[in-house]
Amino acid sequence: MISKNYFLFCLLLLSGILASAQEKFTLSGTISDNNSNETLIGVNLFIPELKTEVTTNEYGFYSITIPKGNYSIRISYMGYQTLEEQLQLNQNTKTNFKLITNENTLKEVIITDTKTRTDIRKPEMSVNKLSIAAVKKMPVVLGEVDVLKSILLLPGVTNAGEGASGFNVRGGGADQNLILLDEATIFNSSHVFGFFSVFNPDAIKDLKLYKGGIPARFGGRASAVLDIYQKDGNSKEFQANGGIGLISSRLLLEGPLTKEKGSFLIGGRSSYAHLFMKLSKDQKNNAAYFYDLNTKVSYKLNSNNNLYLSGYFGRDVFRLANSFTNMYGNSTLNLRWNHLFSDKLFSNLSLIYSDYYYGLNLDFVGFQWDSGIKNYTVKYDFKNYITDRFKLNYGVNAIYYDFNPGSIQPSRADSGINFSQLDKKYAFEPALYINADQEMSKKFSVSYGLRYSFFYRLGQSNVNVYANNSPVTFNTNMQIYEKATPIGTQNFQKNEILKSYNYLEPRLSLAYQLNEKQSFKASYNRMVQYLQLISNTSSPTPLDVWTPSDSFIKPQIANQIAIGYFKNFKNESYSLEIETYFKKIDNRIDYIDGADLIANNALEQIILNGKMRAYGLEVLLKKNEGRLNGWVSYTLSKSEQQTPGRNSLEIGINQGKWYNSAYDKTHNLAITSSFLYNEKWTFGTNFTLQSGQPVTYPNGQYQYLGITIPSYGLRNKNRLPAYHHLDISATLTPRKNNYRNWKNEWVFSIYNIYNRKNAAAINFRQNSESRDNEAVKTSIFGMVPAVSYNFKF
Amino acid sequence: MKKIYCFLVWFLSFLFLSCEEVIPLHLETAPPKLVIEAAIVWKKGSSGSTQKIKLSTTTSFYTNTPSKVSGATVFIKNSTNTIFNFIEVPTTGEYKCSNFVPVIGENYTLTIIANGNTYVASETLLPVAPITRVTQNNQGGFNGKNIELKAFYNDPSNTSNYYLYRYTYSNQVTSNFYADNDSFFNGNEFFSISQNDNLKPGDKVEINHYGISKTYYNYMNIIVNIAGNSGGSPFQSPPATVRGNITNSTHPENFPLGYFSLSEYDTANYTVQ
Repeated sequence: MISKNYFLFCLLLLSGILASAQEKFTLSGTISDNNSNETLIGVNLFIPELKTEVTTNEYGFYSITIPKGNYSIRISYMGYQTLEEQLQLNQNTKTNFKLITNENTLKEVIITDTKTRTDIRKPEMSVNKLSIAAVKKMPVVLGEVDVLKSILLLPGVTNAGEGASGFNVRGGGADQNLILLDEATIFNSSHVFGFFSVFNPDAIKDLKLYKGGIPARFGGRASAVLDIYQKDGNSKEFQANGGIGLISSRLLLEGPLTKEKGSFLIGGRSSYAHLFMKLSKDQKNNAAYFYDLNTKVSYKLNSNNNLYLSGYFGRDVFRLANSFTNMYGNSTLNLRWNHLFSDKLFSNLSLIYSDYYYGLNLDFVGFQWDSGIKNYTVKYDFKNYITDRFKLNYGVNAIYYDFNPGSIQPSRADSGINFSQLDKKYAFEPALYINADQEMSKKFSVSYGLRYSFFYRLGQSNVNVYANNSPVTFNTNMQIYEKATPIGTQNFQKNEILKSYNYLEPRLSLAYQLNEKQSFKASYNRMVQYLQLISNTSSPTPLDVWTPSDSFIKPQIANQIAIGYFKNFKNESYSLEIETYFKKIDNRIDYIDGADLIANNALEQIILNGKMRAYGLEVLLKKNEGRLNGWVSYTLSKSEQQTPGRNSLEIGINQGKWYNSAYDKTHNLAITSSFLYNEKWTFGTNFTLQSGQPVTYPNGQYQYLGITIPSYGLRNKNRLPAYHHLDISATLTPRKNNYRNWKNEWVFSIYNIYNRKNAAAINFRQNSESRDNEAVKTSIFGMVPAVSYNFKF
Repeated sequence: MKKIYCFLVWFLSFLFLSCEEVIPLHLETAPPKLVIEAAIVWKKGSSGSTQKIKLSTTTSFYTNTPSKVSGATVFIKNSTNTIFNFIEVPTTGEYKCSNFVPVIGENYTLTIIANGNTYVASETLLPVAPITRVTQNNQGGFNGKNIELKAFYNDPSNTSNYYLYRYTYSNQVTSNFYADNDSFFNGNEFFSISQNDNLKPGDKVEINHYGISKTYYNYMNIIVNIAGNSGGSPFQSPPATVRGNITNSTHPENFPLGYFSLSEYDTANYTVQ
């Protein structure tokens, strides 16, 4: 089966290469911002004579090989003026294009040029791009510009509600998203348990969310990829921008290192609520703050070689009196080298270090807890622009993981706690991939690829051995799952392979253009996830630990198909995207009842491998231009999980029945719009309406040892009340004053304008006075007005 | 430890801005299930001959009156087949025994016959380390201003020990329970800790430490979590029906709730200074 597929694959490759017979030349180069030399990602370069196009890659590079001739080239990009140029191509040519932003021209003119129309030609589907400029104008809670909260307005994307961390894509778990910042994996994307994202909007250049049809260069997570790139820094002139908000302030400095050759960027952000706490006598000893730091240095060695060194460091700190201190965060460091082997062959080599640390000191118990995950990645990616109709991407990458599931030590001399280190775990995950983008005809294009991933769980000491190889036993008498007692342990050398897996991950997407305005697209992808987040809650918490697959905990395997219809209409001022998807995930882990997830040294004893399925219909209607633009997105979907018994005697979890996953939202409607009133004022509105989150309400109660205990039926059968809120914002850009380059804006916003008390949870308890049982709704944000000030010079 | 974490996460996430309100919410009611409270406890140094077992059923969530189960046959048998009968105090659903003989390490079997079904369970009576001292700290709690009590004991190092702590306060109607295990402090002096933010000088506190089995520890951990007020939030883990160790041998699928446990316990009575 595999060999037959492989043969077909090779045949397709060949057909792409052989299609070129005419005399052809290559046009290549980079496309960047005229003011800052910042390279631009995903810029469309269109050649009307050939009806062919190319887009710039993550490093702003493009290359297209076309027959000799005279062409008029059209370059368009969101937020920039469209550039049209005549070009005579009679030899291989390197041309770097510079685009001028809209900000510098009369707004009335630009509006007609800023088109965010849907690309109906490319076989890319289930992908959403957001411009940082648009994200910054959206009304957000407390005025904190938030990349992750903005993507919640896209079809198929939800989260567990206000103040919850992570996001769910097409009914998948938050742990199933691969979040990359300059190609480095970010393990925890939230500050303050989910109130704010870890991404400083000023430092971000571009972000792209892949919900399906995921290219072969990505792997390692089952559901989605959020690919975020930091800015390189202005290599023309020194520039500063920043903002002052209610919660945090940020400052970003960028400038040339050596004129036009190198640039630096350094950005910091910090919350300062704790400073006010210090003023209050009550709160003097308490602290709650976060900060992050983005840095990047870019250097152009010559026209064929670029170096980038970038880093991120973020921490959250909580301190309450002297009773506890809690600190956690990500850090990443990566070095990348772009090299052009030829004007058709672009390469990037990355060396990446990334870690996540969680620390907790509970002084009143005399207890210090540390856990984390470190990983080291090497990646080598190639983009080969063979012809204008055929492009190959291929590469290899390898990740080495070092997990610290937790260490516990006494924090004081009089502490009763013993030192203990949960067994450290190590793993190695190499992969290779090849992906072809091919235009089969004027109407039909495909992108097809294959990723071959491997996973080696490397040696640790004290690996438990169980009777029948089963770390979870089923007590048929009690009808419950129980932890098995190991019958022995096995020791492995540090680099000895304890368990290995390998999977072929095919990827395919097709686009068939009905005419200039409409197309159908379809995609299939298989994704394998070798890491599991040990979390029993509907939204991840910072203290959740990641654990590698082993002999007992199997890798998650996701298969997803999607079909879509895409249309631009009314002279491309509107776009409609309709997609439907079905996703099936094997080996989704579930926990036995009463599982203790924290500081558990034998996680295999509480985990059962189940499965998951999700399907839905997404509709996105965008208005791309005019003074009023924005979109309406609606998703109808279902997401379920099942953990049946492993044999006929076992009942499984939830009696082996399918149940709604915690992120199943039947309906999800989001409307976002921006209205340019005049040069000074822009208004923004967001509206979100979605089904309440699935929860389990009690269906009875009883008394045990004098306490009232609610009794529950089947899992996630109930739902919280519907979730909705309307937010507005107004951005004031004062008329440019005479100071040289000083630009500023005020963003006024009201989150949840009609003060909806959305339920974050409904708890059940016995009233301590009346002793009656009652249902208690907890809501987080009511109406929240905010103001923030942004500047740039 | 687990509860501390859960509490932490909950507490921090709502550090600012959250609000709570009691709401009317319609809940469905499942058919009633038998609930067996068979917690045999033996205070250190006492005879332990008087014991009690309570039978009731589940009721609708908002009902105030618990339903009692009368007319059942209840007895416990030890490993030498000595039978201890539990006789109902008429129509209370409480079954009492006055000649029970507790022996540490002895295995006991509970049998209940009610409404034509026979329910059985067996469990071993476990010892507990004595409470050695109680300390009071006036800079306790999360804000460093509450009165906090600790009851110390010396954990035996040769075995894994599981504890159930019960704190009964004169200023609070219901008792607080916490289950603990010695995996982080095996063989050391350790303590249970009060978690009542409203303690004032003069308040009386009864502290009980029970020695429990691993399975009862697992059970009580879930019970404490779902009964506690700290549940809910995006950090909620899915609640489930908690199965105890009692089976219905007539209709196995219709299992009862509750637990048959046997524990030695030690008590300290403390008046807040």
